[in-house]
Amino acid sequence: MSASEPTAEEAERLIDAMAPLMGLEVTETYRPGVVLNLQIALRLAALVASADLGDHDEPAPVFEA
Amino acid sequence: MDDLTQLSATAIAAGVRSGTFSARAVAEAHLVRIATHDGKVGAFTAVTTERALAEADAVDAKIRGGAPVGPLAGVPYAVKNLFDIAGMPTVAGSKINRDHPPAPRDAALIEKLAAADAVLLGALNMGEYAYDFTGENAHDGPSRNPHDLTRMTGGSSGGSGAAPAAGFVPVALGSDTNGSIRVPASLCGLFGLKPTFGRLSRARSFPFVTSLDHLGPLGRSTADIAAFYDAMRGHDPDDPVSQDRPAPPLTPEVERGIGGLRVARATGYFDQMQTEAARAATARVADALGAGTVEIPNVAAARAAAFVITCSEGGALHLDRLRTRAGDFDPDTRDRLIAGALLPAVHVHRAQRLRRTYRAAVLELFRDVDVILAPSTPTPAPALGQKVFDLDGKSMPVRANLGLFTQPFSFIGLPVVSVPVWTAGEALPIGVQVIAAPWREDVAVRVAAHLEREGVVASRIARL
Repeated sequence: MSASEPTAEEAERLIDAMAPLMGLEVTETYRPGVVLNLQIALRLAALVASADLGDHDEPAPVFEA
Repeated sequence: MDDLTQLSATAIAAGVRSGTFSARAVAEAHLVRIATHDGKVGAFTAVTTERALAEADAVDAKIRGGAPVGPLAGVPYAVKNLFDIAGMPTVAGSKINRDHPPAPRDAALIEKLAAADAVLLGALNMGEYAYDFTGENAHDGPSRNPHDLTRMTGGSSGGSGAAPAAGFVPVALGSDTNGSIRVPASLCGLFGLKPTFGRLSRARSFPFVTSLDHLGPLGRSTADIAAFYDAMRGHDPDDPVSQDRPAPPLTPEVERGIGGLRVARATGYFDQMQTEAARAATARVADALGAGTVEIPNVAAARAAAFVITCSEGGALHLDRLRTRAGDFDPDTRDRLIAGALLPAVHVHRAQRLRRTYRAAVLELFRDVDVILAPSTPTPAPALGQKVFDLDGKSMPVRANLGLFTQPFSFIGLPVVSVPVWTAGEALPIGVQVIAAPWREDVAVRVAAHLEREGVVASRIARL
């Protein structure tokens, strides 16, 4: 999968691979909308990935025991 | 007093306390206005008439008996239908949750408002499971903008924007994960307060993205939202992110003025992707405050990270429902949530790491400024059903992009008041965000109140 602009085909492949594992049925009715939304999410995830982060930049949520 | 629905929350509380009019008269006047006009607005999904009149009568009985009453004595309000109301299922804009059993107890914030002697009028329309910026809902129909019934309220707290703008209540409660208080406040011409993350209890409200969910008030004046905040503040161990720290009242800040505050308008990302109305509104507020400028680093990536966390956490929360009842979702919500459930985890982890570095960078800016200004929405209210809008020559989806300017601030939990601007010749309002450092709601409220006193910003009750 590309790290920049995901194509509809790449989103389709992710759906075909992941949906059965997650127990989700993506019907023909839902599929165009899910493809479009996955493309948007993956494009924005690539934008997040382009930001400079170091090994010591920890996640924001803090668990307090 | 011939029309009690035109009064502010603070004026109602003063009038009830002094015996000028009764809490029951106030409740009845608002219930009549709702019954007369909500058929065309679509703000309410449930009107709690019996409870409202009982609460109002209890306030009047206290006054007749000489007992002390709370600071919001007899003030009507309503809540987005993701707040638990004892005796009703908490639908959160969905069809699926209608099968839930009735809530055994009110949401924490409703209990606090009841203790302040406010009067609950009902539950308000919202985008399904709060994953929405439009105020449209496939099950309940859209909430309609009272200033133009053919236009959106914004969402997801759509009914919470419509109800105060329609004069149904002076103040409503909403939730804001990525902008769902500030977007409807902008489109409906209200003051909307999204407090600091962890400030107001979310206990017994239906979640969306627990990393990012906030609750807060929308109303027609700074004083009114400050009074509601004051009644609702305080640590609550029933909300895992509620912070146990001092929460001074905001009401004394309303009259304090802005002496000494350093104000800057955000540039770069916040200058782009908007209509002339958004530019004019922000410029008007910036000019009135003598604002300088500030550029926030990495905004686009931060907004993207908020988006990624939202769709993934949302997909995870609703996974079982997506497996078993996908056909019962609003189609617009369902497709986004399924996409979120399929998103690889590494993206979410990276987004949470970016959240921390972005927070540090923005907090650094607050060494030199006290307040940052930015548009609340890229445009005034779009038409109902509108799918795309043109922003600086680029066609963009409405649903995903009404929150372009709100997401970068809720992402790191900053307190914001969205203030309503009516620019010359515009029939519709648009909001400007007044953003302060964490836990400094007082600063944002001082600025909003100053702008209101100077006539730069104002809210109006729509003629229906």
